Amino acid sequence: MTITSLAIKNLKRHRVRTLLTILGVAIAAATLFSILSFDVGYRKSLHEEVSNTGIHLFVSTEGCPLEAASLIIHGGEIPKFLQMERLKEVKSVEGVKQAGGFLIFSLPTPDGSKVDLFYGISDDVPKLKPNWKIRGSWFKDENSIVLGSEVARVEKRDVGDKIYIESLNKEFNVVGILERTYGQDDGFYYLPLTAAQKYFRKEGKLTAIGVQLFDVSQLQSVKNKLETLPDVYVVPAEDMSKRILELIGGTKALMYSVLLVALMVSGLGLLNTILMATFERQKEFGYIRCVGAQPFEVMKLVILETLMICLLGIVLGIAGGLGLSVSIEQWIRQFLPYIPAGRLLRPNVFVVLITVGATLALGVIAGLYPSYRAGKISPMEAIRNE
Amino acid sequence: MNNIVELKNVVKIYHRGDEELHSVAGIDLAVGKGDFVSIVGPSGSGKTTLLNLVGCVDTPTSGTIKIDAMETSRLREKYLAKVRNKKIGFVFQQFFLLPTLTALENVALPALFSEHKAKEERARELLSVVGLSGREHHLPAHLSGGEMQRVAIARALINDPKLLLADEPTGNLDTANAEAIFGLFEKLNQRGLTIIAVTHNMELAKRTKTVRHLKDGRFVD
Ligand SMILES: Nc1ncnc2c1ncn2[C@@H]1O[C@H](COP(=O)(O)OP(=O)(O)OP(=O)(O)O)[C@@H](O)[C@H]1O
Ligand SMILES: [Mg+2]
Repeated sequence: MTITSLAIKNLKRHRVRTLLTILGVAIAAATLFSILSFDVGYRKSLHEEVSNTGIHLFVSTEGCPLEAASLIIHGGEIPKFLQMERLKEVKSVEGVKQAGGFLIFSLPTPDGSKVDLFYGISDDVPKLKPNWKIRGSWFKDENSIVLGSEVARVEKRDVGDKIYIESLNKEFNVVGILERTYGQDDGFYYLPLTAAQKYFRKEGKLTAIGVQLFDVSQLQSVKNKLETLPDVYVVPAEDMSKRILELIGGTKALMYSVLLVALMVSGLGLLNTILMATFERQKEFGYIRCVGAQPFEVMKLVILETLMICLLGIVLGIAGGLGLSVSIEQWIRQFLPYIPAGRLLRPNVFVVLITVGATLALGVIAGLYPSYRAGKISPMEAIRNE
Repeated sequence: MNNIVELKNVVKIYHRGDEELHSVAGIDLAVGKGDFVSIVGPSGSGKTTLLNLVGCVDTPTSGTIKIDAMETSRLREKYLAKVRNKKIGFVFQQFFLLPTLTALENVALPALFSEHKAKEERARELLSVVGLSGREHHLPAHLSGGEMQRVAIARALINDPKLLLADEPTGNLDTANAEAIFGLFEKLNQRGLTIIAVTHNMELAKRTKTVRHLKDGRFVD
């Protein structure tokens, strides 16, 4: 027999109470684990998304540059437009490797159930998207359309099929399907730029231009040169991810307050359980002291019981957090103003370590007072007359 | 000086409301190494209180107590626990067995707080010595009073104490079992263990080396 087995026996004495307390700790641990995983995952996804586009700078018209930038990867519509000539000018600026023009439109479906996003793209755009793989072929004529993989799945269309777009009152030939990018790109309809300009009556106009550089370290000087062009505003892609991180700051603050409450509630639950378990065993602690246990050994016993509950709670919490991560992710998505591609919850070793460390610390804090009380129980407690 | 226990003018006062209760009212006692002392007296005469004081479970209101030449009446709790664990085996009148532990685990419990953590074999041995072979894995709730008493005796012996204190060790036993336990005490005493036993059984008391009579917290012999 060891102190540990003594602790286990004590915990088994009130199975339901112990289990409920473990569950409380597990919920706190799972919350902590999920929020930390989200913190890591969101940052990474955003970074990946921005770097995957292969676009280093976004050029748009003055006024709403960040929106334009976010629209290019996220979808949406801006009322202001760039002149088509800018594309050629941008391409000729020293340091620019490629540039592609976008004309972005969103059209609600006639039944109003959702918004379809249309991207008119110039032939250079695929060069800016190193992760793009198109099954089938590139645009052949004005009637060609390329579907994002998600659109193709929902609309049940494959290469060679026809698709009727009600809001444009026009039928297109599906010439290609963009294979899954796990990003926003999966959800768009792609049209040839000139065709899009025609259908949306924006001949000679662009929403934005995506720019790839030869050398990213030249970003500032290229940006300065680009900004000498008329009506042009330039945003580096990295600034955009910073802006987006700021944008979700509020959501994160909310999450961390939920976490704080979860930790406090489970900490108090733990404290309550251990305190009760200590008070109801005053006599027994007295017996243990009578046969020669030191005060610190009694304290150790109580702390050990607390930590065991914590450890089980941590294991359960992390397992639960992992097991439910898909649902948790779905749930979190509802509260985000911007959702990058890829998984949002990405636990790593540090997330696990912080979860374990913080929950154990919670256990130590909750166990401190009960163990102090237990350590003060004297052997006379055993012989006191009832 | 060959006394293992020395009490000088020891007083223990309990308070019951406003009333002061002199449970032990000035006792001098010297017990030599190897002695076998029985303490007899009517109920409420202070036998248990006296034994608790000697066993370092309780502290005197005044007076001095020395165990093995160490003045325990002045020691701090930390050291008292050591004395209880190492030098003294105590068979409590109410046994003080932990309800969640089996007989075997209860016997081994004091070893857990000594240098020799695991003493399962020795605990088994002691259980068979007190006639409880086969009852190792019973919880106290599933043992009779006499069996619990014998578990308590086995537990008192687990750390090879120098001094055995026993409060009514045969109180719950039938004549045959009482005789067996008393025989065991005599054997342990012959091997050099000093024993102080509280008993109501005059016949058994007569067989000890020293008999002391207690009344109203004082020796009356
Ligand atoms: N912890 C205590 N608090 C208050 N009074 C106590 C306490 N312990 C003992 N007493 C009182 O001290 C007196 C002596 O009690 P003690 O238990 O020593 O008697 P005893 O000789 O062991 O009796 P018995 O033969 O019934 O066991 C009694 O009047 C008892 O009520
Ligand atoms: Mg008594």
